[in-house]
Amino acid sequence: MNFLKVNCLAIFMGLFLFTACNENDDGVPPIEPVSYQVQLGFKASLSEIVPMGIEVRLRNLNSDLEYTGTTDETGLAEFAAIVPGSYEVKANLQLTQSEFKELFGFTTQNELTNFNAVHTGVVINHNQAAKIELTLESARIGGLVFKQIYYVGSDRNKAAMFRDMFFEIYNNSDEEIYLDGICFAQLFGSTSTKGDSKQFDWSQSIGQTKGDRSNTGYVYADHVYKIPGSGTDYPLAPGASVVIAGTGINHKAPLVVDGKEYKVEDPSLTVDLSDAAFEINLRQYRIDRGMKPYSTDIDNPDVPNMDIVYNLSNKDLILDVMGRDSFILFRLTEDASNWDRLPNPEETVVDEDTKRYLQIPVEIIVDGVEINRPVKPFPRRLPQAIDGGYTYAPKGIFSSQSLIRRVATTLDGRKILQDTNNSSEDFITIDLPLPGGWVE
Amino acid sequence: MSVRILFTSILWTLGVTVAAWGQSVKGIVKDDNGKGLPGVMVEIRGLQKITFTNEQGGFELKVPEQLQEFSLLFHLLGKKDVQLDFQRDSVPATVLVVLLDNDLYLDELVVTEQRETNGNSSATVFEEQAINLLQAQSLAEVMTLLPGKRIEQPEMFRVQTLSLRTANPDRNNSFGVSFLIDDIPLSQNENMQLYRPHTKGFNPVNQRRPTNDPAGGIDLRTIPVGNITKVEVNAGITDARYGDATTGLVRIEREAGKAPYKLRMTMRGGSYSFSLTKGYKLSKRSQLNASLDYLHAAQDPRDMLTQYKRVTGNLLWTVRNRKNRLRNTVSASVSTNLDGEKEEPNSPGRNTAKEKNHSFRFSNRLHWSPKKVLDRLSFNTGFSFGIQQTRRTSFVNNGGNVVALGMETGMYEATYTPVAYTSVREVDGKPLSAHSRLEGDKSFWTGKIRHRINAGIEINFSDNLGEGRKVSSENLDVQLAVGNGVGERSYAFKDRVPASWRWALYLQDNMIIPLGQKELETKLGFRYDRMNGYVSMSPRLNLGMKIHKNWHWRGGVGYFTKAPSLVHMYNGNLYYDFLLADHRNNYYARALVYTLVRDGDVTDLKPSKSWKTEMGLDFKKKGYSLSLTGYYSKRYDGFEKKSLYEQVNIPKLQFEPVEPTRPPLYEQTGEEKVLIKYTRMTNAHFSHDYGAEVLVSTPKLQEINTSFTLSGAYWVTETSSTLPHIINSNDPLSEELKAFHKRAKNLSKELNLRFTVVHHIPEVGLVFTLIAEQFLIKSNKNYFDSPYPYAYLDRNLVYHELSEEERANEKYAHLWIQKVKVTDTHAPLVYHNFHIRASKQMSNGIQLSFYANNFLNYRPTYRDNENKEKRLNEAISFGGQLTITL
Repeated sequence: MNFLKVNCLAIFMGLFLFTACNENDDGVPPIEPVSYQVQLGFKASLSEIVPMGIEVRLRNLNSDLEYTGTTDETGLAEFAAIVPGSYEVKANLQLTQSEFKELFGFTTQNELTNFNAVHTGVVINHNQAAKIELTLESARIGGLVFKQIYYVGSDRNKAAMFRDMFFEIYNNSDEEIYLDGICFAQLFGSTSTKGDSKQFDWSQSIGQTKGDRSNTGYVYADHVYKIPGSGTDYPLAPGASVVIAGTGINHKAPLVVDGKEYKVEDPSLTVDLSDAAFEINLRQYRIDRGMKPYSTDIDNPDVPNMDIVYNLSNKDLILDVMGRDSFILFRLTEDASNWDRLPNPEETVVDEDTKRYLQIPVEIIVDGVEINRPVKPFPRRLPQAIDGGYTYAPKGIFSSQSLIRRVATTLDGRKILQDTNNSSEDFITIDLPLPGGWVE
Repeated sequence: MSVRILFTSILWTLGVTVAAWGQSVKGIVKDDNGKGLPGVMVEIRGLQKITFTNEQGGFELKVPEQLQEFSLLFHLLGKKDVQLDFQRDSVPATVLVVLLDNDLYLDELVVTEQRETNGNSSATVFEEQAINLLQAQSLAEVMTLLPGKRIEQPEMFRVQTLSLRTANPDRNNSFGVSFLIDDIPLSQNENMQLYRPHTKGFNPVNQRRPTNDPAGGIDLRTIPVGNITKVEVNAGITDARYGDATTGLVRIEREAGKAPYKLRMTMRGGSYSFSLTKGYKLSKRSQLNASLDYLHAAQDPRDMLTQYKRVTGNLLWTVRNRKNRLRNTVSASVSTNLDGEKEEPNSPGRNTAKEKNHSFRFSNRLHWSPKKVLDRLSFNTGFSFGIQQTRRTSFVNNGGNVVALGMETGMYEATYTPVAYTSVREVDGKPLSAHSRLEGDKSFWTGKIRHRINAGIEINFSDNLGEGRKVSSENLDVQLAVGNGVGERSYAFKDRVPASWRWALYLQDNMIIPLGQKELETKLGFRYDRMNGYVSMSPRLNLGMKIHKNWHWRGGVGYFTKAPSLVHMYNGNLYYDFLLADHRNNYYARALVYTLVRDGDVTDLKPSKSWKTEMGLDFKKKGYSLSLTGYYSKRYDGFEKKSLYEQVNIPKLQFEPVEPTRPPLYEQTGEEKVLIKYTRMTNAHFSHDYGAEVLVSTPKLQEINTSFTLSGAYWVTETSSTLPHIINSNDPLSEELKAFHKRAKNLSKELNLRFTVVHHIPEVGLVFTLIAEQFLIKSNKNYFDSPYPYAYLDRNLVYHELSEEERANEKYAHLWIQKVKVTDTHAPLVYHNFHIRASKQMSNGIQLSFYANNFLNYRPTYRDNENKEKRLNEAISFGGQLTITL
């Protein structure tokens, strides 16, 4: 399919190049020319796709001599007669989002994607190889995305209730990304179901300083957890993911106390999270603030704990089972206490009972997913640009249902997840969560 | 020292006693058929001088020489009391008295609340007919008739306690009301049915169906009215013989005597009750009364948890000797609720609630009227025992909570609850109380001053032999898991709660002092109490004087104390359990806990106290009466929980993983500071109450067969505490942790009036009552003197005082009090409520009654400060009663 499309493009470009060659035939070469081949390829992460019909230019570094060729269906551009000399070999490709999607089969967040391949000082003569391999490089394509969000929990009587919640972050890019400093935030907003779906006017918040931009330029979080590390501790390879659990243990397994085994009634409804990359534990956070640790705060020593950036009330990673949360990922590069904490704009007075929400700039959001429900929806918490739609688990609370992102394509064994910034399109539901797994 | 003084004074008074019993009054008591009535009690009012009529209805009573005028009271169960006033020099040779049946055919019927006529107090009295026509199921409904109270259907699935003379009822007020049934105190001091008292305070185990409120006073629902002949409520200055009450006194009287079978069936809303009474004459001087009472209350018939069922059985046996000098009354009562294990409607099989409450009471009263030395010597003993079990189960699915069971300070490996299980909260109490009183009465004269001395000794014993609260890892209440506030351990009342003794001596002299043409009635009493290691001396003084023809002035002042109950003092140690680690993976589960123990019992709790003073004016003429009372009382040292913060160090551990199959090794690398919060019962609550009460009544106006009563009360209550109000900083990232404010003050006012019209046609035995309530003022203001904190605690738990200037600084804005805590609510309108009641007695012994509360279904609405619609008055409710007398 892709191959055919590229072919058509090549035929069109070929016609254009044919006229250019004719012009070249007019001159009489002073030295015997040589033939030359440029083998063009996309960068490793896209190497399955053949760059076809792409203009390759050879520019003589000592004169204004320039040759132009076009790659064929194998990515090869052939030059029949080149005056020997020192050359710059160069190819460019600029793709719009739709051209990108057409060519690679998945979407990118960038308006335009530029591929460049350049090699300077290539000596072309009879003694040198008559072929060069050139790679079309680009800036990183894709980034970190939510791969899976399991917010409904499992049966409150027969399984693990809130305890087995988790989310999964996936490196949807073609480069390694360090997770150190990546934050997960639960967003706060109006839970009005009056139907007018009006989000709070955060510009009315007591203490607001962002004026007109307070609604469009910022989101407001009640809980923020950060992946620890000094910057290069937690690399994540392209196509790899991490599971971040509330409690990183095997929730299916029994608890053994003095030889007695206690387990949930139906372990099949819950999950094994003992392989989670990180878990959330509030023990130290509370002690540091003069508070008693919570009663259930299981710590798996094998699973590193997340840093707690902001915690208003939740005793663990507790995602709203009713779906009144939205979630974002962002990278924290400064101290969050520099950011404003603002009360719900409906609060007319701020006192000791007033909850305050951390103000996060929209431009640093890496990925965001709006959770909502189709009937009596809550006002949106995320800007349309971050998530143009919304998603939810239709079976509802404690149903074990999980949200997982669609696979857009697989390139060289690397799954590329669909990221159209519209979670209605990008996510599907699965009846049992699959931490780190894939829908067959 | 003070004991010696007291005894000396008794001896002194005995030394000057002048006993002079002179002329006899003879007479005969008959019924309306002219038949002599035996066993009628004849009493010289104001003296403890009593005799009974013989088989023919005849009586003879010696009247002291010094008594120039006196009143005789004739009383027989089932008959209307008759009081006759005599001048010594015009007593007829034979007094003829006719006692009429106290039924609706009686011409003069007392069916509303009355002012106590005997003495100087401001007590309110409900006679048998008033209770009867109310169609009450328990004492709770009777108490709604007190001046100033609202007539409402009591929520029978909740504890109903009684507060007096307050616009802002609280536990300290209701706990300070003492109840006496047949002169034996009804004790609540040994009730310990509290769960997690350190954390939950006085909140009951079953929040939705609290059948117990140990620190809130007697539950009125438990007292049936079927066999009650009189209830007297006195919020004023009570006699020295009454102690252990700071708010007031409720005296309930029952009586044995020959009476026919009486079956009474009452329906109120979703509740119904039966009561069956019968009085037997066992011999000439011996009577037995038996009563059985069943109540089935259901607030919401669909909700099992709101049901309340109780059965009460009573036996009352009176016997007197041939010469009427010795009288003995034995009473026994058994009460039980029939509420079994109930399931929560929304979680069948998972969550259940159970409340068991059996009680047994026994009392004996012996009165002896010796020929010499004393007019009367009484010896009362009372004993009560209860079996109380509160149990609540709920399904828990927490994945295994850490359970700390360590009893001493230190670090250890804790255990776990099952992953998902049925948890149990249970409190097992066996309250035991005993009471004994020995007292004597003597009248004498010193010169022209008439004395009546009442002196005695009273001993009270309280203990609880229950299994108490049990904590086990298998069925642990998840609230007790490590980290949920203060931990709890098993606490067996029988082993851990010592018995508490209280004793008191009292002496009162009721004097009538001639002042020229007038007489000053003076009741001067002293009471010496020894409670919980504290001694209190309570003076009481009541004065009364006829100031003009029909006008009578009275005033009094007194000091009152109320001992803390067992549940105020004994709650067990405080266990602070800190989770150091809960490490679990696929191979092991190991929890490390550090437990810190603090003493939680407060054995040095002082009694709460009150100073009360009141003044009143009474008018009486030809059945018209007016009574006006103003009062001021200051209650202080009330029981309240105090929050204390302590910075403690808990071990800081460093963990070293070994291999995945074994828990990490650990070593202590230091200590971490943690803030713990204590709550300790203390004497801090105080209140000022003042106000006025009025009661106006007319006799039955024969022309229209109607009588009118107006009663009302204006109450003002100001409460606060000497403790600080501590709030948390609302900014999780701020430097400050907690802010200290001066406690809010609460000012409440209430003014209610009630107008009662009783239309009574004795010829057909019909009584029709219309009650109009007027609610004029109801306001509650809760306010802080300043929104600014005077101190704060920072994240390092260092306490910082704030200077006056600093307090208002914007940078502490997150520590200010600005909202919610300041409330000023009041009903913005004057509104009414109308109730009707009707009773018809038929000649065949059947009496039918009907009532409708708020019969116009008038429910005005208003918008409160937050613009929420509020509805006043309860919705219309009906009920009825059928009484069959055989």
